[in-house]
Amino acid sequence: MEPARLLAILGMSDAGKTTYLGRLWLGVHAQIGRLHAAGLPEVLRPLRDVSSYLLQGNYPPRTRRGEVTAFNVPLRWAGAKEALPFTLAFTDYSGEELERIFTQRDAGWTTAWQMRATGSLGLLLFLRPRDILKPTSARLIGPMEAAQWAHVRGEEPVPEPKKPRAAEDPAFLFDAAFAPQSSEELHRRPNPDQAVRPPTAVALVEVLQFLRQERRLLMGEAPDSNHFRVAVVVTCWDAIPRGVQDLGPEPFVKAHFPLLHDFLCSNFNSDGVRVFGLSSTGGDLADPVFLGQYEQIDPELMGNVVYHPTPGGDPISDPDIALPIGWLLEGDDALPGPRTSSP
Amino acid sequence: MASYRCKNPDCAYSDTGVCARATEFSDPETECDDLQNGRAQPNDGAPDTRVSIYPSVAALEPAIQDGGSESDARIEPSRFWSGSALGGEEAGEFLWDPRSKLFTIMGGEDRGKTCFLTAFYIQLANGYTAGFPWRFCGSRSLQGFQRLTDPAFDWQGGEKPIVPRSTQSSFRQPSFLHVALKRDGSRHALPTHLILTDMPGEWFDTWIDMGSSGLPDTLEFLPRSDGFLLVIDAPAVLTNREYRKNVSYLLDRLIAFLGLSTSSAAPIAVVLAKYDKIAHQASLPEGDMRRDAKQWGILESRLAALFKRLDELPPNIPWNVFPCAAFSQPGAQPVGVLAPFAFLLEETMRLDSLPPMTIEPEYRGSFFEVFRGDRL
Repeated sequence: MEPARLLAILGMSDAGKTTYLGRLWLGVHAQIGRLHAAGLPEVLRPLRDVSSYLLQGNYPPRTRRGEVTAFNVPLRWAGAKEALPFTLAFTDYSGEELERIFTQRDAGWTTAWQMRATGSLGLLLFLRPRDILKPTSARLIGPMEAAQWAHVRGEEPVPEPKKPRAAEDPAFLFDAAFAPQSSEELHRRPNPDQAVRPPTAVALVEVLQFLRQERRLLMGEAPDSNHFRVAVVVTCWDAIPRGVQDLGPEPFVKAHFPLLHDFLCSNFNSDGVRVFGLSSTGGDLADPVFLGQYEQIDPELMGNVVYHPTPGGDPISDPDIALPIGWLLEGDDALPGPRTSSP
Repeated sequence: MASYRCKNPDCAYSDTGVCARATEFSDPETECDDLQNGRAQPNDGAPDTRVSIYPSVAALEPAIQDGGSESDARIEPSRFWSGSALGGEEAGEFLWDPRSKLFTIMGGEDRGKTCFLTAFYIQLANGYTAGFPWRFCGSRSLQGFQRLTDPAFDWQGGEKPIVPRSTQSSFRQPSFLHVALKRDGSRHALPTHLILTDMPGEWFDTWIDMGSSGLPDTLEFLPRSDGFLLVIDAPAVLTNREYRKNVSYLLDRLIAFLGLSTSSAAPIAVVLAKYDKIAHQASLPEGDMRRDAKQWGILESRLAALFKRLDELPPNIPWNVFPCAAFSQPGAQPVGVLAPFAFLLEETMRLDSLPPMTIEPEYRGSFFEVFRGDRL
């Protein structure tokens, strides 16, 4: 039996974990990219089921609550100098699991979570853009603190509240009051003129704290990046407005998941965390126009990842969606560009 | 040559005969533990059996069963912190660490203490840390903060409660919230643990009435406090004489306590909460001007007596005043909430720093003058 390399996948429900696994398998089996299947897994059925949805032009159904599927996939990282085969082990589970651990911690921690915590080489942390909650009010106040005070003192007129839009409109999530539009604004930390936002990814931060605790890491102590890395994967990257996409996934996470971003910066070395934007299918399968294109091309050729080769540099796109896994296993050696670190 | 295998994944000794730690050993085969422990039988063409640093799939079982369900065996209940709030014992464990800072939030009933605490977390979680050079590093009470924060986002304005009130009936023992912070740009530094009290205002009323004997258990942590946040309801200070008197009583108790605790130089941040409600009438002085009651316009006469008491504190006890609006309107960013925390952190860090060198070296001329013997 090949040596096993365990990776843990973390993500809330509907974050795209299952879709990614299905698309990943199609790619590695077809030997597209640098992560290749080294034969078939002993138990193929779960991967076959998941990927068959994608072959039919559908998203895999949401993993049901309590349902957990383990995958042991024989792989070979063709990009490494010595492409030794290994078995990549990970489990797919319902995203509610994380919420359960956060709220009912005493009942939620299992031996499987224990194994994820102590045995995994790295974490794939899935973030979905819809985890960004809309602000409760779009009413704005002054641009700087002095102006804020002037405003609450009645020295400046109250800005008119923005016309509310339908909450289900995805564009609302990227409203000007919420997602800065210019590069300069997006790199800046949120300002007082932005509406206050409910904290995001709190349950993820808590579970990360649990995992670190199980690895006997002190708060603020960075693990050796060669033995424990975190790949932050922003899914549905194709659904994000083009102007925000152009800036890349790092400023996106910094602006919209500040608690998580600060936590990662404070608890990991700069070469131990990397942020990727991921589009597993290259577009929205629910969009009939895109679906028409999708059906003309093999699914393993669709999709891409976006990352910053240099910290703060321009993002680049790579069709090899296995790159986050390659990076977890091999570090910056897995990246096609020069060796760098982030965020 | 016999074949060897090495536990070091970066070592290719078995293939190349070059040890990855060649600079450390003259003869790796006899000196290197990694190589000795991995000594193999001569390679006779058998499949590659080099030792992996990774466990086998079998070793991962029973936690993960291929293609099936994973073990859901529950392990060790209470393995982790409760997440809601720290009790005295948990807080005490942190406080053994000299990097921990206990800030006591004082104030009467329904005067804005919990809103202030909630707004502090919201600001951190929003990443809005302008003027606050610290970053979130972790928390042992995330659930506790969320318990306060969730209702705050449902608040639609008006006089309805914004956050759950901390009442005497719900709190029988001191309760603390925890945040670990790292200073900006200090990725590799150890974090500072902030322990913040969340206590009902009734306790402070009892303290005013009965002194420490009235609360022998609940205020026992007070001597360990590294800083105090005295939360004052600014609109009530303006309009309510009885409330002003109560604030001065509380301040008297605090000052008396600090006087008894002679070693204490814990800074005091006076927080004028709900300031948005009077901001249109009152002035807004900046920086150290805030310590001068005259600068506060309509509040001058109301604050003068308080400031006089604070001015009489020993000079080693720093204090300042901070107007703050935790929830001025639904959806608005809190204003001025981080400033008192920044002040207390800065002052307590100053206390922690090493004293300056007191012995000035005698000047005997420049190095070259001494070297040449020009000056003796």
